[in-house]
Amino acid sequence: MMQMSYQKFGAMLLVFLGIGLLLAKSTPVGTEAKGGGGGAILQIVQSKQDHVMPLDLAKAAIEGSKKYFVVDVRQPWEFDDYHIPGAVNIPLEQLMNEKARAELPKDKTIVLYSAGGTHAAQAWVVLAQEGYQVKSLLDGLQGWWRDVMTPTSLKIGDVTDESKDVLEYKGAKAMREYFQHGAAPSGSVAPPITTVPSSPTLPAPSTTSPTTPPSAKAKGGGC
Amino acid sequence: MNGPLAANGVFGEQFGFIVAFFVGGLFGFFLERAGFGSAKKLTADFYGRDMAVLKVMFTAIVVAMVGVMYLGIFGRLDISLVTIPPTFLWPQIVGGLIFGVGFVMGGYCPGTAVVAAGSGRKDALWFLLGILVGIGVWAEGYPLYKEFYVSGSYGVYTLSQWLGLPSGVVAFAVILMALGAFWFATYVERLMAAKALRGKDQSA
Repeated sequence: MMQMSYQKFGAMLLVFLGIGLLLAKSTPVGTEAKGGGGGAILQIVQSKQDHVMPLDLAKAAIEGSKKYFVVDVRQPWEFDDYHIPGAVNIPLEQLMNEKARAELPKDKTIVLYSAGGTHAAQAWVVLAQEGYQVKSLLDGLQGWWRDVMTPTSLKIGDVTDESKDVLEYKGAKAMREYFQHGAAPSGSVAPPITTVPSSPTLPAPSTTSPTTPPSAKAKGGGC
Repeated sequence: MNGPLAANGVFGEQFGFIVAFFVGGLFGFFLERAGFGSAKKLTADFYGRDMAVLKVMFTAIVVAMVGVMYLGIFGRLDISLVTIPPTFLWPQIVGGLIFGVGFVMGGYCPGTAVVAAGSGRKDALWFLLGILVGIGVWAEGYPLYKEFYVSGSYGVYTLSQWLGLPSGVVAFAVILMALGAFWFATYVERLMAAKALRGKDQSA
C-alpha cells in the first residue's frame, strides 16, 4: 500500500511539473530548434561553423569526400568561365526561389561560394534559417585563388593564420598542382603558370570519385 | 556554471572522459541493482509478465525531458547546444524493428548486455560478441544500403516541429502518455499473473 502512494506521488509530481511546462512562456525546443531562429544562426556564426576554409574544401575534393555539396551562386557565364571542380551552378536569384531550394540535399553540408563573399553570405542566411546544413566558402573564389591556386612562391605574407593551421605550406602547393592538372579550368581568371612538376604525394584526379568509407558512428541510445 | 558543461568548456575533453567513466559506472551499477542485468527480467517485458523495463525507461525519458526543459527555462542549460540526433525516418523505423527483434531474441539491449557481461554472465558475453560481428557485417555491407541509410531525411526534427505545437504542450502530452503507459503496463502484468495462476490451477 505504501508503494502505491509513492507511485501516486510521482505521477502527481509529473503532472504538476508538466502543467508548469504547459504554462511556461519560453519554448526552448522545437520552435527555436537548431537552425531555426536568429539566435541559433548567431551561434553558428560565433562558433565559426558558418564557413569552410578553402584549403579544407580542396582537401575534401582531393580525398573524394562526398560530405560537401558545392554550390556556385554566380551567374552561368561566370560559372562557365571558371568554377571550383565539382561545383553546381545555382545563381543567387534562383536560390531565392523556394522550389529550387527544395532540391538541395538535406543530408550533406552545402557549401556556397560567390566571387567575394557577399552573395554567398546572403544565400547562407536564407538556407541556414530553413535548417539546411550550410556553410559558405571563406572569401569565396578570391579565397580559393589565394589559398589553393596561388603559387606558393607568390604567397609570402599572404597566408592567413587560420589556413596555416589547416595545412602545411607544402601541402598547399601540392594542392594547387592537383587542381591545375586535374579538373583544369578554362580559366581566364587563372594566373599564368609555367610548367609545374606533378606532385608525388597526391593521387591523380580521377573522373569517378572513390567511394567514401561508411562512417559507422553509433550515437545516442537509451539503454 | 551553465550547461552543457562540456560544450561550454567547463571541463575539457580529457576530464570529460573521466566524468563519463563515473557516470557510466553509476549507470551500470543502478541497472544491475534494478535487475536489468538479467535477460530473464528484460525479456519478461515482452511477455507482459514484468514490465519494469518499460516503466523504468519511460520514467527516465520523462524525468530527463522535464529536467532539461526546466533547466532551459531557468537559463541554466542552453538547449540549442544539446545534440539532437537528426531524423532519417525509414532507416530508423527499420533499425528500430531490428533492434526490437534482437532484444527479444538475445535477451539484452546493448547497454544492459555490457552491464550483464560486467557482472559475469556468459550469455551477455556472447551477446557482445554478436554486437561486434554485427557492426563488422554492417560496415562491410554499407555500399549495399547507403542510399537507404540516408533516406527520409528530415534533419533535426522534433515532435513540436512536426505538430506545430509549443514544446511545453508536447512535453505535457508526453507526460500523460507515460502515465497512461504505466497504468496499462500494470494492468497487463495483473492480467498475465491471473492467467498464470489459472494455468496452475488447471494443471494441478
